[in-house]
Amino acid sequence: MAEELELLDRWRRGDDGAGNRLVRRHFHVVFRFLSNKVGDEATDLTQQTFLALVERRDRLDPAIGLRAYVLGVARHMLLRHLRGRYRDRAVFSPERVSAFESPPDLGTSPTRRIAQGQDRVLLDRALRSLPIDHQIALELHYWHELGIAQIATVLECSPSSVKSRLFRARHGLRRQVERLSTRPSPLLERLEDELSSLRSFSGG
Amino acid sequence: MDEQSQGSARSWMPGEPSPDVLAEELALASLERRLFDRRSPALVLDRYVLLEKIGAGGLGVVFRAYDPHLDRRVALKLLRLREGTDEAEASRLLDEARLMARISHPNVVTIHDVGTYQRADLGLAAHREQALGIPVPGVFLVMELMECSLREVMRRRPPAREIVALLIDAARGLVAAHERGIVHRDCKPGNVLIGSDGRARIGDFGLACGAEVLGQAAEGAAEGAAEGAAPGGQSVRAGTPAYMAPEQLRGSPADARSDQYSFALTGYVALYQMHPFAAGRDPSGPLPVPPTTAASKVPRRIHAILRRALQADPAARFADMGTLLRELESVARERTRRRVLVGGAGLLTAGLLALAWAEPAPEPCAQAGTAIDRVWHDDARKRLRSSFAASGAPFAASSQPSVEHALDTYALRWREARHEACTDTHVRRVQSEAELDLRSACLERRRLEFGEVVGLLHDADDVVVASAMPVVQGMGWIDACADPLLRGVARLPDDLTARRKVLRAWQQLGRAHMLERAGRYVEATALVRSVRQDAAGPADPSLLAAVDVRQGSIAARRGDYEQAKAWLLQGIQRAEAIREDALAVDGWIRLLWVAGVELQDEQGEVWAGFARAALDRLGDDPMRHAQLEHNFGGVAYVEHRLGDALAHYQRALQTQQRLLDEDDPRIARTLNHIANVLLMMDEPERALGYARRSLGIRERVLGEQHPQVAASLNNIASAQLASARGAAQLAVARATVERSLSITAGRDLPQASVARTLEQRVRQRLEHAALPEPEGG
Repeated sequence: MAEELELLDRWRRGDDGAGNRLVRRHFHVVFRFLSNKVGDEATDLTQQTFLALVERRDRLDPAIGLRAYVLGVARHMLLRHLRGRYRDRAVFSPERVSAFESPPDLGTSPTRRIAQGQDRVLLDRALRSLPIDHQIALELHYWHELGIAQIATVLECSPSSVKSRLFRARHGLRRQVERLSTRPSPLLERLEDELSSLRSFSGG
Repeated sequence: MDEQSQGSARSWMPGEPSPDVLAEELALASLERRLFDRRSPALVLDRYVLLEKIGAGGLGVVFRAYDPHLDRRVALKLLRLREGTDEAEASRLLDEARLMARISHPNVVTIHDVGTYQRADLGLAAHREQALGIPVPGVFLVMELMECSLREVMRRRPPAREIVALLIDAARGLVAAHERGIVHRDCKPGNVLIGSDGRARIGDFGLACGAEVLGQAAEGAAEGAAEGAAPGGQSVRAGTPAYMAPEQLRGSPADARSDQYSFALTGYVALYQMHPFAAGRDPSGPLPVPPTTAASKVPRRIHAILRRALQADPAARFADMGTLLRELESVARERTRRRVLVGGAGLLTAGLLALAWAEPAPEPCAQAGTAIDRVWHDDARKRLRSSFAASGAPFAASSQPSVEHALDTYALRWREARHEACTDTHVRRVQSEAELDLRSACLERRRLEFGEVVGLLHDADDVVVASAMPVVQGMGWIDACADPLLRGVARLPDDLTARRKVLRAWQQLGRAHMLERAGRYVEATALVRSVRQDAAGPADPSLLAAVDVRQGSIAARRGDYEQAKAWLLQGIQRAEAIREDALAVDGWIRLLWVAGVELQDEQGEVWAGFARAALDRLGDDPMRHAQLEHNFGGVAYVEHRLGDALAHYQRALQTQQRLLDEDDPRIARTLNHIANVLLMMDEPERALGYARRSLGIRERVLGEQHPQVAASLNNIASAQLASARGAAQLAVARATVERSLSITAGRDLPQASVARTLEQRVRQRLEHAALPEPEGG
């Protein structure tokens, strides 16, 4: 961890080699974190994330670790992006709006809508219909195996609020799965296992 | 195996949805370029950096690429070697490509480099190769990057004169090839390529005769493909059946006379916008009389020339392409002379009568246009040649004739434009003196820029020599000066000192543009800065606005979007203040991209609104309107305003169909989007029609196995499913889904999961359908 902070410091001082090592280490996590929410725009948002990483001068808490920090920056970029596409900006809130409904460039085509039968697709779609911060909380918990304190850093909220969000997110996910299934899905019984198994896919 | 592919971030279970590997690779490469100016090793072939895929088909793939040694953009074509190709055959193919590369002619697409590559050269893991669609092993060809082809030009139905000029260019290229004993075999509108200098070249030479042409061979087989003998004795399939000579269709080897036939057919289709043998296709029959409306615009002698070259019997055609070329040239010359005479004498009578009457009248514009001779003359030409001869840069010798030809052409066009500007005011009297001033100022800026280019080439170092063509191609568009909306509103000051100062600044701005074009952004930036400093004070506001927009453009190319936005905003304000409308539109369009797309500054809709307003004021610029409409359609769709979305998409489609090739993938995309909207609106029958048209284009252009084909098939299946009333109709939907599944099988594509879901749905419906009709097995 200290090594990564060292790399970041060296990058900020102009050592591109260090920067490149850092980028390669975190690129896939960041890119997939973004691309399962915004699709094609993930490339630009990933670039913005890493650029912001160099430009920001704030000190980093070594206890939090770089991954949580990077994902926190990525979330910022994501929200800025979604807010821009959301028509009524006053209404936009990461706790209410889902990545799916706000920039549905990935998800609204009619043929995709039908894609409900397969468990994997169903779960993906259910996750995406959660409020963004709930989706992120679940991903950080199950895929990135971040602790409550780290998730709190990413979401910029208190640890207790992380817990309540995780609770509501699981609840919401269950409801979404029920709603989207055409018939009773066996997925509901093994929702937690299924979520954990997706970890490899998301680069965690 | 491959270290990178075994990294923890890259592992996923087989069968699970995998991330889009190509998107990730390109994203990583582009990120590294931007952050570290480093070429990602994963996307380099030989020394060429792959930038973006610009085409794919049965042939292989084409990338826009960057050559770091020579600091220029190129087209990189990757060709699949035929299955089971051994090394001897691969090297024969390479020899052939090198032979083509040796044709150095202004009207033949320049091949800079050729080579073969193996899996190891790519440095890619196997799964990434597949994602990129790169054939392995294969042959690569590095060619000059072209703007468009005759197919695209045809779509906007330009005057016959313009088409004939391009055909003459193409014919010169074919003559050059035939002189070296090389037969093209596949002349068609898509292979007559046009550079940004407006010059046409013959391209895709002989590619068809060595490498496997998978898609075309398959199509050809259906219509009776040519099985000809290649120089090496192999049996090959080559050519595009629709443009083949009858003897080629019968299976005889292609020769210079079959090229002549294909060329004439290309010309016929381009001029009359129809295929002479479209219905029934009896090429041995008489050439049909073209529709009178189209025919009236095409000189009768041209029709006669084409008719002769289109004879079914090769012996009845012209002796060779050279003869055909001379015929075409003589018609073009005659037409030009007549136009000048008629216009010049102010008479509407053509021919000898005009000549007779014109003789005594002094020509007030006789000297107009000669100013170009001060920049481009015999000495300049000699200096250019010696500068290139002295250069040690690779390709100096081979690119010199093209560069010289491009400069010749530009000088000629400038002379004509200046003469016409003068004539409009002083002879035809259709233009005021004030308008002439503006037109002349515009032309003068072009001439200064031209002078800059000539100067740059005289003192050319190796880098300049190497990037000479892109620089020459970047010179300003002369015809814009004749258009009141496009030429700008700046006239030159009357005071001589001020005039000199302004001209000098325009000259430097032109140079900066050239440097930007050559990818030398640092120098370009420095130069624009100094122009800005010099221009401070009682400056020409047009110039300042142009400086801002140029600086914004350079900053955007360097990836400095915040800075780019600031410059562009300032430039737009200045342009708007003095009603430099064309400049303002340029600014708005760039700004929409920089601010709305790159910076995501949450004001995309605002910029879009302004861009549209500016474009509306500029008037008829249909291609840009089409882009805007398409994007508005996307926004409306996203916001579930389906009626609006449909209307926007329809308008975009209409324009695209008018301007683009009918098989342009952009049209296919719009068609499929419309199908999406109609499905949402519960109009499956209408959706079906659009999805089918989309499918047709994608199958023809992208090949039947392309994922986009599956996307169209999925929409077709959705529509069929939605309107199915019985088991028979459901079976039709199932067949469609099965085709889609066979394309996406084993590939992790979004289309695949859609297809699988559709398959389930069909199955469920079939089970339901079986129940209430027990007797109807």
